Amino acid sequence: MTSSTTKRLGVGVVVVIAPLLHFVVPGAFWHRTASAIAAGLMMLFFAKEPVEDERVQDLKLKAISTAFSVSFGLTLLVNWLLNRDWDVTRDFDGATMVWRSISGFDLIILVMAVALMLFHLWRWRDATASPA
Amino acid sequence: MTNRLRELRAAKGLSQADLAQALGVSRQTINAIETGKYDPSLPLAFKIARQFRMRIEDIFKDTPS
Repeated sequence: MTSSTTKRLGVGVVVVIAPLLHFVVPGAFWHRTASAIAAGLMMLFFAKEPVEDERVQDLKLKAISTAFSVSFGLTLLVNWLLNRDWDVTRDFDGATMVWRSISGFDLIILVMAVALMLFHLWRWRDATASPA
Repeated sequence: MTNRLRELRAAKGLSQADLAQALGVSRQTINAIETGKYDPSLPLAFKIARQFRMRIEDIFKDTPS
Protein backbone atom coordinates (compact mmCIF):
# COMPACT_ATOMS: atom_id res chain seq x y z
CA MET A 1 0.00 0.00 0.00
CA THR A 2 1.46 3.39 -0.97
CA SER A 3 1.95 6.20 1.53
CA SER A 4 -0.80 8.35 0.03
CA THR A 5 -3.28 5.44 0.02
CA THR A 6 -2.63 4.78 3.71
CA LYS A 7 -3.06 8.49 4.48
CA ARG A 8 -6.29 8.72 2.49
CA LEU A 9 -7.56 5.63 4.29
CA GLY A 10 -6.65 7.21 7.63
CA VAL A 11 -8.49 10.43 6.77
CA GLY A 12 -11.46 8.36 5.57
CA VAL A 13 -11.62 6.42 8.81
CA VAL A 14 -11.49 9.59 10.93
CA VAL A 15 -13.78 11.75 8.79
CA VAL A 16 -16.28 9.16 7.47
CA ILE A 17 -16.18 5.83 9.34
CA ALA A 18 -15.95 7.24 12.88
CA PRO A 19 -18.91 9.66 12.50
CA LEU A 20 -20.90 6.89 10.76
CA LEU A 21 -20.26 4.56 13.68
CA HIS A 22 -21.24 7.26 16.13
CA PHE A 23 -24.24 8.89 14.49
CA VAL A 24 -25.68 6.39 12.00
CA VAL A 25 -25.01 2.84 13.14
CA PRO A 26 -27.40 1.99 15.99
CA GLY A 27 -26.09 1.35 19.47
CA ALA A 28 -23.46 4.05 19.39
CA PHE A 29 -21.06 4.24 22.27
CA TRP A 30 -17.95 6.34 22.60
CA HIS A 31 -15.37 3.53 22.82
CA ARG A 32 -16.36 2.20 19.37
CA THR A 33 -16.06 5.67 17.84
CA ALA A 34 -12.82 6.32 19.73
CA SER A 35 -11.29 3.07 18.47
CA ALA A 36 -12.05 4.12 14.86
CA ILE A 37 -10.57 7.59 15.39
CA ALA A 38 -7.49 6.07 17.06
CA ALA A 39 -7.01 3.64 14.15
CA GLY A 40 -7.36 6.45 11.59
CA LEU A 41 -4.89 8.70 13.38
CA MET A 42 -2.41 5.82 13.67
CA MET A 43 -2.67 5.22 9.91
CA LEU A 44 -2.00 8.92 9.32
CA PHE A 45 1.02 9.00 11.61
CA PHE A 46 2.62 5.71 10.62
CA ALA A 47 2.02 6.06 6.86
CA LYS A 48 5.30 6.50 5.04
CA GLU A 49 6.12 10.00 3.82
CA PRO A 50 6.73 10.48 0.07
CA VAL A 51 10.46 10.61 0.87
CA GLU A 52 10.97 8.57 4.02
CA ASP A 53 14.51 9.61 4.93
CA GLU A 54 16.47 9.59 8.19
CA ARG A 55 15.25 13.07 9.20
CA VAL A 56 11.62 11.96 8.86
CA GLN A 57 12.31 8.91 11.04
CA ASP A 58 14.17 11.08 13.55
CA LEU A 59 11.30 13.58 13.76
CA LYS A 60 8.67 10.83 14.00
CA LEU A 61 10.51 9.21 16.89
CA LYS A 62 10.91 12.56 18.66
CA ALA A 63 7.26 13.44 18.02
CA ILE A 64 5.88 10.14 19.35
CA SER A 65 8.19 10.20 22.41
CA THR A 66 7.21 13.76 23.30
CA ALA A 67 3.54 13.12 22.55
CA PHE A 68 3.47 10.03 24.76
CA SER A 69 5.06 11.83 27.71
CA VAL A 70 2.79 14.88 27.38
CA SER A 71 -0.36 12.81 26.85
CA PHE A 72 0.37 10.44 29.70
CA GLY A 73 0.93 13.43 31.97
CA LEU A 74 -2.38 14.92 30.84
CA THR A 75 -4.10 11.57 31.39
CA LEU A 76 -2.77 11.39 34.94
CA LEU A 77 -4.01 14.94 35.55
CA VAL A 78 -7.47 14.20 34.10
CA ASN A 79 -7.71 10.98 36.09
CA TRP A 80 -6.71 12.81 39.25
CA LEU A 81 -9.41 15.42 38.58
CA LEU A 82 -11.99 12.68 37.91
CA ASN A 83 -11.08 10.90 41.13
CA ARG A 84 -10.17 13.78 43.42
CA ASP A 85 -13.11 13.03 45.69
CA TRP A 86 -11.93 9.43 45.92
CA ASP A 87 -11.38 8.58 49.54
CA VAL A 88 -9.63 5.28 50.26
CA THR A 89 -10.71 5.33 53.85
CA ARG A 90 -14.37 5.61 52.93
CA ASP A 91 -14.80 2.00 52.03
CA PHE A 92 -12.17 -0.28 53.45
CA ASP A 93 -13.00 -3.39 51.41
CA GLY A 94 -13.12 -1.40 48.17
CA ALA A 95 -16.55 -2.69 47.23
CA THR A 96 -17.98 0.67 46.22
CA MET A 97 -14.81 2.38 45.15
CA VAL A 98 -14.80 3.17 41.45
CA TRP A 99 -11.63 4.25 39.71
CA ARG A 100 -12.66 6.50 36.86
CA SER A 101 -10.19 6.87 34.02
CA ILE A 102 -10.11 7.93 30.41
CA SER A 103 -9.91 4.89 28.15
CA GLY A 104 -6.86 3.55 26.36
CA PHE A 105 -8.43 4.59 23.06
CA ASP A 106 -8.74 8.17 24.32
CA LEU A 107 -5.08 8.10 25.29
CA ILE A 108 -4.10 6.81 21.83
CA ILE A 109 -6.16 9.59 20.20
CA LEU A 110 -4.38 12.16 22.34
CA VAL A 111 -0.92 10.68 21.68
CA MET A 112 -1.49 10.45 17.92
CA ALA A 113 -3.02 13.94 17.66
CA VAL A 114 -0.11 15.53 19.55
CA ALA A 115 2.45 13.44 17.61
CA LEU A 116 0.94 14.40 14.23
CA MET A 117 0.86 18.06 15.20
CA LEU A 118 4.47 18.07 16.43
CA PHE A 119 5.76 16.11 13.43
CA HIS A 120 4.17 18.46 10.89
CA LEU A 121 5.21 21.55 12.86
CA TRP A 122 8.84 20.42 12.96
CA ARG A 123 8.72 19.37 9.29
CA TRP A 124 7.36 22.80 8.37
CA ARG A 125 10.16 24.43 10.41
CA ASP A 126 12.72 22.30 8.55
CA ALA A 127 11.30 23.51 5.25
CA THR A 128 11.22 27.19 6.16
CA ALA A 129 14.30 27.59 8.39
CA SER A 130 16.81 30.12 7.12
CA PRO A 131 20.51 30.28 8.06
CA ALA A 132 21.37 32.23 11.21
CA MET B 1 28.54 21.02 14.23
CA THR B 2 28.81 23.51 11.38
CA ASN B 3 28.92 22.75 7.68
CA ARG B 4 29.64 24.27 4.29
CA LEU B 5 26.82 22.55 2.49
CA ARG B 6 24.99 25.71 1.39
CA GLU B 7 28.20 27.25 0.07
CA LEU B 8 29.26 24.07 -1.79
CA ARG B 9 25.80 23.56 -3.24
CA ALA B 10 25.65 27.16 -4.47
CA ALA B 11 29.12 26.82 -6.02
CA LYS B 12 27.88 23.83 -8.01
CA GLY B 13 24.74 25.71 -9.04
CA LEU B 14 22.46 23.12 -7.47
CA SER B 15 19.11 23.85 -5.86
CA GLN B 16 18.17 22.20 -2.56
CA ALA B 17 15.72 20.04 -4.50
CA ASP B 18 18.45 18.92 -6.95
CA LEU B 19 20.79 17.96 -4.14
CA ALA B 20 17.99 16.24 -2.23
CA GLN B 21 17.12 14.16 -5.28
CA ALA B 22 20.75 13.21 -5.84
CA LEU B 23 21.09 12.10 -2.22
CA GLY B 24 17.70 10.39 -1.96
CA VAL B 25 16.41 12.64 0.82
CA SER B 26 13.79 15.37 0.99
CA ARG B 27 14.39 19.08 0.36
CA GLN B 28 13.38 19.79 3.97
CA THR B 29 16.19 17.53 5.16
CA ILE B 30 18.76 19.42 3.08
CA ASN B 31 17.49 22.72 4.51
CA ALA B 32 17.62 21.31 8.05
CA ILE B 33 21.26 20.26 7.52
CA GLU B 34 22.23 23.59 5.93
CA THR B 35 20.69 25.60 8.74
CA GLY B 36 22.33 23.44 11.39
CA LYS B 37 19.06 22.11 12.75
CA TYR B 38 20.02 18.55 11.96
CA ASP B 39 23.33 16.68 11.88
CA PRO B 40 23.21 13.91 9.27
CA SER B 41 24.07 10.30 10.02
CA LEU B 42 27.49 9.02 9.01
CA PRO B 43 26.15 7.20 5.89
CA LEU B 44 24.43 10.40 4.71
CA ALA B 45 27.53 12.47 5.50
CA PHE B 46 29.57 10.06 3.32
CA LYS B 47 27.01 10.41 0.51
CA ILE B 48 27.24 14.20 0.74
CA ALA B 49 31.04 14.05 0.72
CA ARG B 50 31.02 11.77 -2.34
CA GLN B 51 28.59 14.12 -4.10
CA PHE B 52 31.07 17.00 -3.76
CA ARG B 53 34.17 14.78 -4.12
CA MET B 54 35.48 15.97 -0.78
CA ARG B 55 36.29 14.51 2.60
CA ILE B 56 33.65 14.63 5.34
CA GLU B 57 35.87 16.81 7.54
CA ASP B 58 36.19 19.36 4.73
CA ILE B 59 32.42 19.81 4.73
CA PHE B 60 31.45 19.27 8.36
CA LYS B 61 33.29 20.86 11.25
CA ASP B 62 32.89 19.80 14.83
CA THR B 63 32.33 22.68 17.22
CA PRO B 64 32.94 22.23 20.94
CA SER B 65 29.64 22.18 22.82
